[in-house]
Amino acid sequence: MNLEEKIKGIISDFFYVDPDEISGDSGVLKGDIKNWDSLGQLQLILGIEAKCNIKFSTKEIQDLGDFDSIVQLAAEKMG
Amino acid sequence: MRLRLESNYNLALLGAALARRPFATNVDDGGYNLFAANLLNFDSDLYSEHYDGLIISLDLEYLDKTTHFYDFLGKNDGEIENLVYETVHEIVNVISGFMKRRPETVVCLMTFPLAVDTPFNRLEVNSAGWTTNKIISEVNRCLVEKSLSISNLFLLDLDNLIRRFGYENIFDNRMKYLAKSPYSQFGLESIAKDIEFFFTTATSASKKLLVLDLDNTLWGGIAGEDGIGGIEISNDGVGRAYYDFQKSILSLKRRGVLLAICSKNNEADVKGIFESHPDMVLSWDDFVVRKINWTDKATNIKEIVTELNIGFESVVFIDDNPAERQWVNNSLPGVMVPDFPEEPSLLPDLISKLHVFDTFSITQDDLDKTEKYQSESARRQVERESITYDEFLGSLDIKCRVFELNSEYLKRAAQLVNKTNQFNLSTKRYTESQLLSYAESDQSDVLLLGVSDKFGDYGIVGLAILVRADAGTTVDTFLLSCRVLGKKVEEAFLVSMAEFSMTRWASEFLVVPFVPSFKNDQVHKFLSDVCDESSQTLDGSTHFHFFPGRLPFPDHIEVKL
Repeated sequence: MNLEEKIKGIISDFFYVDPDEISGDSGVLKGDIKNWDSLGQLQLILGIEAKCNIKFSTKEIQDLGDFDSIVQLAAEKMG
Repeated sequence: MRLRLESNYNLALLGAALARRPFATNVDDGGYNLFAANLLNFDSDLYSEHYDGLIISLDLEYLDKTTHFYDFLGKNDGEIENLVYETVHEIVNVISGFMKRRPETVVCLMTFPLAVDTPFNRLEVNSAGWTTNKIISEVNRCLVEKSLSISNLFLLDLDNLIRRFGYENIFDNRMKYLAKSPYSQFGLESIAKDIEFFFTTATSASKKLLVLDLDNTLWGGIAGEDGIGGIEISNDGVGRAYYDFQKSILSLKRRGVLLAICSKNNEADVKGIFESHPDMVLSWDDFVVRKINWTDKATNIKEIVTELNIGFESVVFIDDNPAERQWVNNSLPGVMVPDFPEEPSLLPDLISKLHVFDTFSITQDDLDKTEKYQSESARRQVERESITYDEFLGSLDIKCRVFELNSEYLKRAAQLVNKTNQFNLSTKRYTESQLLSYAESDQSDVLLLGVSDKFGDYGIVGLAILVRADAGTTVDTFLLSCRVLGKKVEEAFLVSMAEFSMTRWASEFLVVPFVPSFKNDQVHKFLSDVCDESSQTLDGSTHFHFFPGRLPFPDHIEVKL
C-alpha cells in the first residue's frame, strides 16, 4: 500500500467516507467531506502522525491545505 | 450516557475522543470558553437538554487572575489567599447555579494539573512561602472541600493521569497553540478513558464481589504439590509480589467488597496454608464463601452468586489459568474476567487498574459488609435446623426500626435507591439532593428501615418515599435489600408506612403504584397477597390499595417507629 492509499484509509476511517470520494483537493477549503473542518483536520493530522510515525511542526500543521498537500508533506517526512 | 462538556478553553477534541467510546451515546461540546456564560445563562442550550453527565475542565492559564499563579513574587500571603479563595468561590458559584437546576446530572470537575515547568522549579521544594504549585494545590484542596458538601459533584484528578503517563505524553504544546486544547492524541484518549471509569463509578455500576482462584493466583505454585513449605509467598523477593497482591485484596475487602474463593483443591491442603503460613496476608475468614472442590468453576460461581443474592454483573473473577477464565467467561457472560499477567510484579496493581471497584464514598454499611454476610450464613445454619417456618422466624428475634431520613444516612439511602433491583416497587433512581428534597418537604417523606436479629445487624435495608395525596398517601418508592426478604419484614415495613401516614397526614390508606421491571415480579406477588383492592390505570400499571387494618404487624417482629 503506498502512502497516498494509506492516508486515504486514515481519512476514510476518521470521517466515515468512502476512499473513492477523496480527491486531490478534498479538505477544509473545498468542504466536500462532512466533519472535515479545521478541528477535524487537526485530529486527522494527529491520527496520521500516530499511524505513520512522523511529526509535523506547528507551522506546518497551520499551513496544511488539501489532501494532496498533506500527502506531499507526509512523504517528505518519511524520507 | 448523554454528556456535555464545558470549559474556558476548547474541549471539542476531548469531546471527539469521548464520542468514540460506546458508553457515550451523545456528546455535546459547550463551545470555546463558554463555561461561565453557558452555566449562568438559563436560556443557553446547556439547559435545553437533560444531560446524564456534565464534564467541566478549566485551564488556569485562561482564568482572569491566573497570571498571578505564575507571578506570586512580591505578593503577600493575604493577597494570595484571597486569590485562591476568589478563584474557588467563583467556580463553585457558577457550578452550584447549574446543579440547582439540574440536580440529577452528575458533574465531573477536573482538578487543575500542577505545572511542570515554571520559572521557579527549584523553589517548589526549597522554600517556605507560596510557590506556583503550592497555590495550585491549595486551589484543588479547596475545591475538594467544597465539593464534598455538594452531592452529585465529583472531582476527577487529572494529576493522577499525568503522573501515570508523564506530562510530556499527555500534553502537546502544538495543540495548545493551534486549537487551544493542550492535549496530545494519547492524552485525549487517556482522559476519555478515565472519564468513562469515572462515570461507571458515579452511576453505581461498581462491582461488589471478587472471586479468586488460589494456586498461582494468591500465591506462586500449587498447594497440593508444593505444600505449605513450597508455595511462593513471602516478605521478600518474587514472593513479595503475591504478598502485596494479597494486601491490595485485603484493603478492598476492608472498604466493602466481598471476597470468595473458587479453587480446585482439597480443602484440607489450603486451609492449612491460610492458618499456618507466616506470610499469608488474607485469612480464611476474610472470604464470605469458599468453594474448594473439583466441580467446574462456572457451577461454583453460580452457587456463590445465589448464596449471596447478587447479580452476575457485580462479579469479577480472577484466575491465572486461561482455560478456566475462558470457561467462566463463556458460561457466565455477565461476570467480568480480566486477563491475568504472567509477570508477578504486575499483580499488586492488577485490581486497581481495572477501576471497577472504585467508589466516591464509603459508608459504615460498606465497612461492615463482610461481617453482615457472615452473619447471614449463620442464619442459614439455623434455618436448616428449625422445625416450622414460623417457629424459625420466631426464633430469630427480628427487630425493625423505621425512621425518617436524616443527613447521617443520606449516602446509604442513595446507595439503596440506586442499587436495589429485585424488591423495588417502581425502580425509580434518585440523587442524594432529590432524596433530601423529599425528606424536607412537609408533603412527602422518606422512611428508612433498619433490621437486626439475634445474629447481628443487617443495617439500613429498606427505603420508602411517601407522598401526600388527596385520597390516601401515594407510595412513590418502596424497596428492600434482598438480604432481608422472606422473613415478613416487607409486611412490617408496609404496615409501618401506613401507620406513619395515618399519624402524619391522617391518611386512611396507601396507594401503591406498581411499575413492572424485569426483576421486580416478587413485589407484585407480595402486594397481590396483602392488598384486597387494586385498580388498573390507563397506562397499564396496577395501583394497589393498602388499608392499615388489613394486616397486623407480624408476630415475630418487634417494630419501633
